[in-house]
Amino acid sequence: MGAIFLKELKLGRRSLLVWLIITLVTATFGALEYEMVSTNVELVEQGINAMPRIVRIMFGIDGVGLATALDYYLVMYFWYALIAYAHAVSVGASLLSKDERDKTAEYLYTKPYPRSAIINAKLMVGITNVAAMTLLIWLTSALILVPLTDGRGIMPQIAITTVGLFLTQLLFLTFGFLCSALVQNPRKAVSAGFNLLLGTYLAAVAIEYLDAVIYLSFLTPFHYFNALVVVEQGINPLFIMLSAVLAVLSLLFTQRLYKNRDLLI
Amino acid sequence: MNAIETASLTKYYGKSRGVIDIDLQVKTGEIFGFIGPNGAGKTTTIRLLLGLIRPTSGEACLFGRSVPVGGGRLYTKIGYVPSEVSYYPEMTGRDLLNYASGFYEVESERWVEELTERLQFDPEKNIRTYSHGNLKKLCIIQSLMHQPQLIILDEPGSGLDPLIRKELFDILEELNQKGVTIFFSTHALDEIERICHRVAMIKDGRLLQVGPVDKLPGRDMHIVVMKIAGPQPSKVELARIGEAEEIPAKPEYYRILSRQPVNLLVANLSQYKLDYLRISDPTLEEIFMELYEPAAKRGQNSYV
Repeated sequence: MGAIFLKELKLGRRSLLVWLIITLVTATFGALEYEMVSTNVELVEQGINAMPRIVRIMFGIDGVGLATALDYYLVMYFWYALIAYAHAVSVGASLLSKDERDKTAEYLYTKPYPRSAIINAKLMVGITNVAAMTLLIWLTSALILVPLTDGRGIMPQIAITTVGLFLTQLLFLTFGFLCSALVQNPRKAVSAGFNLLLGTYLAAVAIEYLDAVIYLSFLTPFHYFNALVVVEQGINPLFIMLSAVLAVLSLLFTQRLYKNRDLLI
Repeated sequence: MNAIETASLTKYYGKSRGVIDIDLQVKTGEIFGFIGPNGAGKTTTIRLLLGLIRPTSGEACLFGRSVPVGGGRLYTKIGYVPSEVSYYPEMTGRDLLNYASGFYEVESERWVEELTERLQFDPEKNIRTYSHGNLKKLCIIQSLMHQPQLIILDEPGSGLDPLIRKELFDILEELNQKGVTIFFSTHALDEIERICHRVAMIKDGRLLQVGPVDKLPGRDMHIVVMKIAGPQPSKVELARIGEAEEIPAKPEYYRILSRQPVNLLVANLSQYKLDYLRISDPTLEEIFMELYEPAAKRGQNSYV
């Protein structure tokens, strides 16, 4: 299993690098925008408030000011989260399905390991990839955004929201695995993962628009560890449990489905 | 204990037929050939044996243990060479072999080097630069490196030049002499005749016949293509040799399917003044037709 883990990690390094660069570019643009925003806070907030509420919700800027370092971090966090969750679900969906896509399944799945062991090795690779993304987001926040915004005081908030980000990424990673087990076609598996992400995102927007977050937040992982809520109230243990249950169920179904199905060769 | 045993092994892809009621026993230590035309079910059978696909019904066992759909430690004893080979293009051949060795306890690096040398394979190149034949060689080395007890090959000769093909079959024979069981599918009769102890014939998903190679239908058949100079023989005269027909594209040429013993055939042919003569083995199609319909017409695609 170690051989599979190391090899899969190596094979996926280019893709991981692309995603990390996208995150870094986003963080850099955010940092570059800060000066303009910070010197025109009222004007920018007026412009934001002039937008329809649904648009503000969709861009993660509803109810968030721009006056403080924490405010700006929360705005950037939204974009980090979108990128990170997209990365997680695509990693999950492609890690399992790529052997069928690239026609290396006949090689890998005739080795003396049960499919469950191969899935577990790939899961470890996924977790490592997701952790790398989380680490970069934390580093860009701590090393770029904090000095720029003079936000040394918000390091604890950055830390706790990053934990929430990581937990949500893990959940989307397992959703990606489940998609590849459910959808036989490797290319459609990744699409299914992105559709799931889009669906949960739109659900989050709708729930917030309807002011039903208190009642319906359990329906979408976007609300489990919402940055604004986490900063104000901390991480809710119920959502940790819910995430854990959903992740375990996703993986159990993945194992069961993948173990018994025909490989697409 | 048989190396391979199947009982009523059946596979349907939806409504499409894969294989139906395959009952096979491959003894430990034998070389077993599996022959059939394209689409007969050879690859499906092999994939069922390896647990890559799940049977619709029936069972397959390797060394007495039911084939786990999902893989397992059973595969430490097995080496597999698929008909189409695909690996990771970023790797070199050496990388792939090192990766593969991580799955097994590969005791002898010398054996790997010997295989590399005998198959004339350069493992230092990037996999994306390898031809189909070189990928096949890499696959063969990768599948034999851990000295398996059972080797399953799906059309092993395809993509290999004649010299390497010969070397491969030499290697397989040597391994068999040490007790390794070989199971391979092929179109090529000469491969079957060369090394197999027994052969199974499959067509349209069903086993037609299983038995020793020398009992293979059509072994007593010869295809004669000839051009006779001078007066042309009558149909009756040609019928004494076998089922004769003219070749439409080549007037004065005849193609004869003969079941005469070789000496009698040669004696009959020597009566004619021949401008051209070729005697060859029947095609796979002709052998299968012999099994189905011994007096059936041959295909019309023959050419000189």
